[in-house]
Amino acid sequence: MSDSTGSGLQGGLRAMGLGRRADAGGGTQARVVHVEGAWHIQGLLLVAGWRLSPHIAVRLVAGGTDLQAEVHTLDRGDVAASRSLPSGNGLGFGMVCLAAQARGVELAWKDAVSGNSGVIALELQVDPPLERINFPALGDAGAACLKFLPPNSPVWQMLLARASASTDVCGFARGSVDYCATSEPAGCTLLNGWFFGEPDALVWVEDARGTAVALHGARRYFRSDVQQELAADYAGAWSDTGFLVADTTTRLHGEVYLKAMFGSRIHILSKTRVKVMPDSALEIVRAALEPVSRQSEIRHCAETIAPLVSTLISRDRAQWARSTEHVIEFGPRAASPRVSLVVPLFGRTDFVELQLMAFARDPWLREHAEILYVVDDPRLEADFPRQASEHHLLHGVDFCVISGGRNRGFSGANNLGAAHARAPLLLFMNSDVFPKAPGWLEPLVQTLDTHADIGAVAPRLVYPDGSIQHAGMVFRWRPDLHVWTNDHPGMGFAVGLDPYRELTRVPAVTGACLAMRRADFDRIGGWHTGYLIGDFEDSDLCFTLREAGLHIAYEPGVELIHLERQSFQSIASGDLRLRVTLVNAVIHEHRWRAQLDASAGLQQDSQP
Amino acid sequence: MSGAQRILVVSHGHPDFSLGGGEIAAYRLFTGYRANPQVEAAWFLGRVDRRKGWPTGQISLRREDEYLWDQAVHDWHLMTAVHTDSVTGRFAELLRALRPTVVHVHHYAHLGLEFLALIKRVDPSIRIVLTLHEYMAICRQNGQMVKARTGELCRRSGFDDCNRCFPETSAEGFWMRKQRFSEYFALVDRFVAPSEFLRQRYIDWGLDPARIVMLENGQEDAATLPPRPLAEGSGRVRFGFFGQVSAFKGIDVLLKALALLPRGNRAGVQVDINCAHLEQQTPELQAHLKELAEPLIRQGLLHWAGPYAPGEQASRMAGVDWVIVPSIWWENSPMIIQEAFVFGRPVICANIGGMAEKVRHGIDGLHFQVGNPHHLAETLLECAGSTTLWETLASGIRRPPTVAESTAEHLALLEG
Repeated sequence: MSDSTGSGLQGGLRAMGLGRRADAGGGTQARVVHVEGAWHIQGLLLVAGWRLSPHIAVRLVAGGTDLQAEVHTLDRGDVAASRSLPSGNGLGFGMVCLAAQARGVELAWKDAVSGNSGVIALELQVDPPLERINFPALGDAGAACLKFLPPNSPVWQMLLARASASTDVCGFARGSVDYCATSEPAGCTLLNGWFFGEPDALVWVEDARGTAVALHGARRYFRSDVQQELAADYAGAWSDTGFLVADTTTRLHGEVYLKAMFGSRIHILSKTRVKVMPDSALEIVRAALEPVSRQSEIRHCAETIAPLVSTLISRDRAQWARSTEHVIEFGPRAASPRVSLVVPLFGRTDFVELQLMAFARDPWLREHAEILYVVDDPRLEADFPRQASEHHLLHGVDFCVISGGRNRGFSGANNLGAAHARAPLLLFMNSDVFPKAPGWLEPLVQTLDTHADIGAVAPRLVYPDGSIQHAGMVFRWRPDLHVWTNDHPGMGFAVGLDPYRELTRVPAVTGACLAMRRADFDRIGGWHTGYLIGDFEDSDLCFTLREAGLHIAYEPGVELIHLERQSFQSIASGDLRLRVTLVNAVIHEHRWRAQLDASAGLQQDSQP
Repeated sequence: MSGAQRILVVSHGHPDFSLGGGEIAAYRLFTGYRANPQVEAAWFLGRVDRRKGWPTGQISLRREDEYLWDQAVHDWHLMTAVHTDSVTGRFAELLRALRPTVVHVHHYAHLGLEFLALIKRVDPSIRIVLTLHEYMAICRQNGQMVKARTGELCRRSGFDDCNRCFPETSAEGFWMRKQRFSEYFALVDRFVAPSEFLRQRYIDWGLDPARIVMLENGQEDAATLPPRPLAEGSGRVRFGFFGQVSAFKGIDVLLKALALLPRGNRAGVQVDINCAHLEQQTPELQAHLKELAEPLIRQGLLHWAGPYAPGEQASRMAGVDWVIVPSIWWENSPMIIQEAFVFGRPVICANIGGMAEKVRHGIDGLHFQVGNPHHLAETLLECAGSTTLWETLASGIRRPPTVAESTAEHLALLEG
């Protein structure tokens, strides 16, 4: 502890008798201001002291630069009593500021009444044990340290432990944690909730063990429900009440408290039990993004949770190797097919019969193709083999059913199917895509056979009403959603409005019906499995092929029917569906930002 | 095709248990095939429901050459059989044992569509003939082509149009329905439409006109009944309704027409209702019909004669001058029209669909505006009040083909 004249209150007493002599440079003149302690800890500078008049302003300077310290005043009745002053009000001060280094710091004071001023060189205690810090003398500045410190640092926790929280109604902040889940194995936490209050109030979430997550850097967003509920009380003064934290390093346990501090007062705003975080990334998207009501904000919140979502997705993918695969062969497998049809099944299987009946009527397909159905839905595994057997007996088409034991999504299921495929060409097909007539497959195969520069080719797809569902894909920036989306130009239009009449190079094609070479598939590592459910896998595949120097082609001369999204409806719909798409869009954009930006204004490539 | 045919007739019911027009037509054709010297063998396979919709799939012998198949359909949207194992199992075995050259299918309702594929799997050379008895493939609403909520007549199916009748099923769901029917219909060699009207509806729907022919159902070779003897001063005032009750048969239109006849000028009109299955209708329909009928019965206009056995039809028809077919759906080829003509009774029917085709207005019967009791009331008065109309129309009747004649036409189709 340092003092310009002595130490502690004794020094203060001596200073008082000599304090009248105004001399800026001299040591004794400085006794109107006493420094009781100055500490440098974790990059923070703390100074505690008192002065003889509340009109004496204090600040911290180093090398002539003001350190912009926060000054918290406090009542020092002890000083007033020992000096026979009428009141101790405002005599004490605690100061806190960030300071990279501890040397050359001075306290500058100035008496607004007398005009006297002075400078006191500070002797700092560097990284002292906490019990050596005189917290009573620091007043509110002690607690104010919290907002400068990294949460969960030892000092933060010790500081916090010194402060007791009130459960009384808080006058300066309100809020609640709506969702708090921690994944113990993944070591991550998702927090969603809301708070508002004094702009300078410090708000954090803290569990019973004292592990805390600060909210001062959290993603904030508009919560229409909070607005509606509390508009009468607060007149919309705080618009972005929502907060969202996806922390990939912190685990919380037991009960968590939302706490707020203003000045030295700490209040508990709400209490919530920590849930076990579901393994499903979809559930995390739901919990994180459902309260985000403004479409324009979803993307930013999606950005916040994208790393967490990716963590959960890769943890999930890591499990795949452990699940058991079953293959059932309905009829003998062709020894050397020219093309393998890979059809993932999810949610429903009633399309299969219609596909098989159409395949049954196609002699070329029956001679040259092998058909692989991938059951990508454990719920279907009980019943589908029986149905498949019946279809085989009724329609006489040979095919294979591959069960992966778990849901892997569009990419994972396609990759699983490809792993079992034997042909040099692969045709990935959705279960709700149906040939209009025999003879559709051979031209797609021929395209790949005769165009070495084409990496993937897809046919025209039409809706049941005959209008365009797919005629090549382009990327469009959606300013309202702040994302790049995959767009199907001409969707819903009469096929006569399709600008293409022949095989054409396009930026990307749909994965609903896409043919490619096995060798290319292996070279690029198959379908990227880092997306949720299914949105951008096909454009990702196309970008990957293009990066490998190949073109993407659209063949309008081949036409199939696509019911589109029917098979996905059972997993996510409406608002959640949009949110999943936006999370995927963020992941897509992180992988292909340069290519997407390059496609702006260049919606379609020229013909090959 | 030449040589003797071996024909398996498949029907959605056996007339021993179910007396619908389709079952009767199927069974009659079976008897016609069996009696025809060109046919080496004929069998009848009728679907039966022993466990109220939870079929065993069992195939059993009813009598010589007649089998029953315990089968059902739960999904009427896609028309899938409940007991599919029996399709690929016992039914296939039966086909292999009987070795038919032709399977003549009268309906897939209650049977599902799958067995059509199995026939070709067992032997692709077996020809499949399918007689269409209503608009089942076109219309989810029991094949009636009547709008589900409003009862309006429907003229055309469409994925979005059908979705408006059944909002719980998406347009894509209706595409799937049509696709499934179309895929199975692709396995059928020849379609038979008992009316040109129905044939055209299926052509509009997408069936190749070359694959569907119109052939009349054959009728029992019964004698024409003499005209109903008239008491002195009485006219042709007795009208009869025959058939099963349903919401689409238009009995309510007939009853309302009777109520509209002006008191004091009813020309002695009297109507006999010979109907079955009233008790199987919804409580609302039963109550509605009773409410309409009771005052008419009290006034002596209406005689509720109730159900009749097949053998009783001639005697009941002998007591009437006219037969009324007031259906509010299109119908196909109502058997009662053919039967009325066999017995020499002119027919008064609604002016739509198969009815209007089979009954020639002003020649062998009269049309009235469908669903319009006022117009039916006028028609009844016109019939009852005229001294010459009945004779004119009765003499215009052409006798429908007999079962033997119809069978010959069907066999000619198989030769073609």
